[in-house]
Amino acid sequence: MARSVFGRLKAEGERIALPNECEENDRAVRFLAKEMGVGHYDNINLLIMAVLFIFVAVAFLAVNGGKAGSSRMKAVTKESLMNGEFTTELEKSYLDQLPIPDEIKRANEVVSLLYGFGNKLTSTKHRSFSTGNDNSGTSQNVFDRDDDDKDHKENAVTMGTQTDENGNVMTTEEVVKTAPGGGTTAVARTDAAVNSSAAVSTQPGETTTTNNDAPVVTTTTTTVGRHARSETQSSTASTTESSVTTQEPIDISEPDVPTDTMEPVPSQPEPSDTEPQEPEITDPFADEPI
Amino acid sequence: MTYIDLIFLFGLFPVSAVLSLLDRSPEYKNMILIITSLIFFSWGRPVAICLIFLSLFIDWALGTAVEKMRDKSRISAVMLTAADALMNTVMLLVFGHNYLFDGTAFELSDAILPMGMGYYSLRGFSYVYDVYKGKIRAEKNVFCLMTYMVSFHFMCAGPLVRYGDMEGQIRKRELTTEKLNAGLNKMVWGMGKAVVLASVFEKIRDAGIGSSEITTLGCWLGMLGLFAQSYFMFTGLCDMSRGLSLISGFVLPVNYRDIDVDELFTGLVKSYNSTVISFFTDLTGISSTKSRVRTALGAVVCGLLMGLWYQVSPTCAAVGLAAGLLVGLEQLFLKDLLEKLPRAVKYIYLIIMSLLIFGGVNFRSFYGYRKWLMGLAGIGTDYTLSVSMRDAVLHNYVLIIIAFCVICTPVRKLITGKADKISAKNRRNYGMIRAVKTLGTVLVFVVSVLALGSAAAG
Repeated sequence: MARSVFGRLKAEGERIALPNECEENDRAVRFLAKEMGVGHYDNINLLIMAVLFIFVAVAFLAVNGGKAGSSRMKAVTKESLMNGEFTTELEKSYLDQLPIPDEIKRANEVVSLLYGFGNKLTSTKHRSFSTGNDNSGTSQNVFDRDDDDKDHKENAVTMGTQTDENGNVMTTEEVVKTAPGGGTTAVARTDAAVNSSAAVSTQPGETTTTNNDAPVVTTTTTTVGRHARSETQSSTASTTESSVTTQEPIDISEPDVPTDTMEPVPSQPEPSDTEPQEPEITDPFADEPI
Repeated sequence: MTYIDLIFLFGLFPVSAVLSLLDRSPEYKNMILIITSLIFFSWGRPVAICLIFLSLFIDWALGTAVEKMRDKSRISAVMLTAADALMNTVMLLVFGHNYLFDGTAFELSDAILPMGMGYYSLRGFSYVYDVYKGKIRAEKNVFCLMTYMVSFHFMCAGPLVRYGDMEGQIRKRELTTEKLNAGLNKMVWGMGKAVVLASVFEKIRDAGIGSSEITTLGCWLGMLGLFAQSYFMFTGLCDMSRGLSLISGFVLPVNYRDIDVDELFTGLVKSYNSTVISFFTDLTGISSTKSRVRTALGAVVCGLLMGLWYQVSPTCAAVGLAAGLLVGLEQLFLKDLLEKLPRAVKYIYLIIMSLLIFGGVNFRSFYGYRKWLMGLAGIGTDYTLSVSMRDAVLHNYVLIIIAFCVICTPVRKLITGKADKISAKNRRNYGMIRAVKTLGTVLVFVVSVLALGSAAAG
């Protein structure tokens, strides 16, 4: 009887697939170890990020960048608190006193070299800006502009100064000229749309061009102070890219401005190698607003 | 003040985080959060504090009154809820992005507060509305409601959290290393999106539709750049918001999701600012109805409300109305027609419709919009590509490729899926992938800080 019961139980036991306990145990230990490892790696990540964050926060708060004199905080008064002047001053002071501002800008430019082709480093000597894109920060919307509004400076070609090696302003071009079909255009749609005009000054070495059919040697030099950009082109007869600068007013009050270099280019270029262009060619949308 | 202001990132936020770690009680944490949020909220306009206290007290009192009246007099409860809606609408009109009266004697641009007024007013109204609907009980403790209303975590880009979802976390929440880790990572990647990627597309937008010259590719790429800029700015701020919340112990709902092309334009609209859309669909009754006609009508009303909520201007109202109309048409019959089309055609449909409808946001007049539309077709433009656009693309093509990988769901899932597979193999692989992620996060952090610092340094 007992033997039969035992045999039945044994038969039932064999039908149930029991796991190998040692193997399961090992697996569980490995799983736990992995979990611990996961936590370990996550903690390292947290530590690195937290230290980095705190380091930057403390550096920005505690280290003075050197502009303290220009942004000295005013005394806190009831009025300044209520009208928001105090918080504005506080923020301005914080931003002015950021540590190593020039190095940060330089490092940002170096990093931007990795973003794509054509980014350049600012020359520290000339203090000009040459990496940025032309229109960053502009809020104008040319589409909403009335075509009859002739006051706008569309297709402004060049407006800048040249500096010598010491960074001194040498001259100023105050040319705000409508370039027929020019501006920032790179690829022409039709042959008819390719227009050319050149402004050649009477003095040697002073040529500014705005055209697509440039003379053999054409040089446009635009070097502006800290916030503007510098662009120098030497092009052949086949291709010339005109430039558009949207920059701040230029300081021409430098005492050491030589007068024998570049003169302002006249608004009506003379002599010119092309016919005078009609203004409507530059404005692609000539119909009346609805 | 916004999340990407240096004074917030490395001034106010670390101070708030460190101070809130000094005590474990939720009351203390809430107090620190309220103080720092009030500073965040009223930065540059301290008068905003008065507005906050006033509107908060009205919301709290009306919520309590609505709860009392709900069972006794339904009409009174409706009237009180409507009064709260009116109060919050007026707040949005006066202190939000109101451009209705620009150039007139009633110009309100000086009254605009530098904060997420849309989210603030909607949060206040959603509380009273939920009390009216019986979804939550009116809050007795005004400080709990204040934590919900002013917390800077959902100030800039939402999400629109409902009080019912937050009440438990306001009363009791715990901060773990997992939350801290996830929060910091999310915040840094969000910062990268908002600071680095959004600025690239801002340049492309400026070169295309903000420059002084109109070209065919400029019209296309400029508008796509505007969309991408808005996307990265919004999702970046949302990620930062979620990250900041996790660091403070809160878990917030997701405010955006991947675009599913099979859901057509309706899915596209719902994928962006989804918590706000969810509230408006709830308000207009779309979520509860099964009638197609009522859903379509609700979508039109919802679109109009959303447009006005984004910006109180005729352009935004028209864009919202057009978007709502298309969603309505899809609900009525378009979806049945379009869902059988190949996915490539659906993508084209989505891009064209988004350009046509949301492109209008950029223009103040129909004249400008028409000009841009003609530019898309190459009509009236003499040139195809401008130098500034070419430079904007070439100077940033690496970032554009990265942005594409982020925005394109299949590519992103391919990359993250492979990384997950490798890390799941064993502990060493997990460590390797984790190290790569840490390195990436550090890089994004450094690049973002350099960009912000460089901009601040002038």
